[in-house]
Amino acid sequence: MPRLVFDPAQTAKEFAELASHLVRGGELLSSVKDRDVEVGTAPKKEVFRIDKTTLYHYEPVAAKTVNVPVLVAYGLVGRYTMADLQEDRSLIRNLLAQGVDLYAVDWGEPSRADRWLTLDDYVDDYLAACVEHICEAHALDQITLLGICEGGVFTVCYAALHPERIKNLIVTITPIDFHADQSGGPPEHGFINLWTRSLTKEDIDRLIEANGNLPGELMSFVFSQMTPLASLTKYNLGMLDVMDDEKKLMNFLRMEKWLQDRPHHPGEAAKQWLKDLYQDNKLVKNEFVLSGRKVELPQITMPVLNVYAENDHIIPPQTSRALGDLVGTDDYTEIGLPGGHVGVFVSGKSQGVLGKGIFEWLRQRP
Amino acid sequence: MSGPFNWFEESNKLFRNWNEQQQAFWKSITGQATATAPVAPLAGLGSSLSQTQALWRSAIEQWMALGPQALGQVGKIDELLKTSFDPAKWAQGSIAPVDRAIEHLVDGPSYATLFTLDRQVLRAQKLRAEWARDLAAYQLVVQRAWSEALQRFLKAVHYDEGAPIRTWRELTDLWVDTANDTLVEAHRTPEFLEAQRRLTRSSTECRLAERAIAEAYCELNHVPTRTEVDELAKTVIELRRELRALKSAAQPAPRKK
Repeated sequence: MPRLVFDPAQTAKEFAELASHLVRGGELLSSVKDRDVEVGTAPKKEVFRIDKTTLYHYEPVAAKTVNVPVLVAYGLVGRYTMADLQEDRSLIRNLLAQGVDLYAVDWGEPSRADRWLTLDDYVDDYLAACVEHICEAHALDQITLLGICEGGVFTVCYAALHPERIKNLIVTITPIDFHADQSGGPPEHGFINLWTRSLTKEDIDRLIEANGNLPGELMSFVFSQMTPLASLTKYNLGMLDVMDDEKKLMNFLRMEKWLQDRPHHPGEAAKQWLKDLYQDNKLVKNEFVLSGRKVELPQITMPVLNVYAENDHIIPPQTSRALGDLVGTDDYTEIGLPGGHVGVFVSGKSQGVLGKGIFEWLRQRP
Repeated sequence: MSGPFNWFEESNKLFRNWNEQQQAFWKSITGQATATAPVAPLAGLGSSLSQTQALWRSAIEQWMALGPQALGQVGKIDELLKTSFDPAKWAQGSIAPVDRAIEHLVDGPSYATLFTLDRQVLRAQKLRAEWARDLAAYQLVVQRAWSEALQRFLKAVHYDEGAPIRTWRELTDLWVDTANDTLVEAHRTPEFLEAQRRLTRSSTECRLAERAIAEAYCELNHVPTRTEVDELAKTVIELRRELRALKSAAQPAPRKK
């Protein structure tokens, strides 16, 4: 029996509701200006700069409760402002509110002139310089690193190469075993892993040669393929759902602003990311080489906190959780949070949970 | 001795003769029986005209002998015409004999001072044809996925057991969920991944071929090329690395535990 039940009265009611929804939403949307949509607004100041990399120090908002400063490092695929999307959806603000002394590194906007930068430059020069600056500024030997996604890989590599400089290591939504997606999981998880493995090494080299960098637009397209209908219906159905609620609409528009701000990934670094890590999975084999040295995960001997998203379709959980068996520390903790890759940072449900979890873990390791 | 020389009459005879021989030539090309055109020797213009006529006849005969041999490599004309008018072939963006000609020019031996820019332009044309083919193949795979999604949706609406669908939003959500699941499955198939890989690669090669042409013009017009600017950027990055390494070596060792 067909499931479709046509009720003229119901349909007319729906139509009327839709019409008034559209009118209210249209008025609200037309009153919003681009300058009203701001992301990354937690007050901070620039304290150090090297090439296009900038180190920011956030202004404290509470008495210090954790002695060791924390340096937040995002990756090159997307901008660090995701960790501070808006006032009530901000890991940065949550940690500041709990008295954490916080820094963040901004890798800048790579252009074609940066195509020759490698992951060696980012980990052993830029990140290393930020760590040294913070140590010098606070007269400390060690700081805590907090890496996000590709930034988590940077922090893992740095901690393995310079364990003497790191007090605690926190990684969030970070891929470690890039082939672990093959062990199973929902069909919508791990498409990037599959897509990258379908390319030949020559495909990647020619792509980078043609574009100089790995274009931000290309990565946006690959991401959108992972949730095809959500991507296609975002501006009709998705926005329709929120457009007459100012709070929801502004949240939607801030996410859009962050998504739009997708930088290009420097070419040589992209080759390492795609070939050495995604294709050859060298990190888990301790074969990944930076600055002429092998990154050996057993050298990570400081306390490690690994936060992953249980429904992460971009970094499937099993690719993150592989870290536990590979590090050389007994003080290894995992926190699995409900939600998706970005959702654990920006969703309303996860607010406080992520920040609280990190803070409580840090407080136990002064 | 014949009557006074009539230029117009003799020219007409020459023209008729030439015309008959042309007809014979084209008949041989189209596969019909070769006709040996009888040629009456012209009179009145002396031996030079006779020699011209003999030379022309000899040339025609040689072409007639060569024609089938040459076209045997290209294919019969009627087959060539059929290919040209086959819509299925249009989607491929090329005609096989033309493709082969371009391929020979592009991939054949190169010459020191001949055809450099022409080869680059033809190569770009060849790559664009390949890109068009790969795009069509990719669209075919994607279209199959959408068709599958539609079939599943219609089945879900008309035949499957489930809660009644009473609102447009419920119907829309069912379509979105069904299509999403179908496309996610399709994106993970080897066919889709290979089609997308080939499309990405052929569009990359097109871009690189366009760059080669642009650089040829830049060099002609004293303008820096993309390759030169990239090399410059590489030098700057390498110098910066050296500078950082020197600065680091010159500084006192950082505090260590």
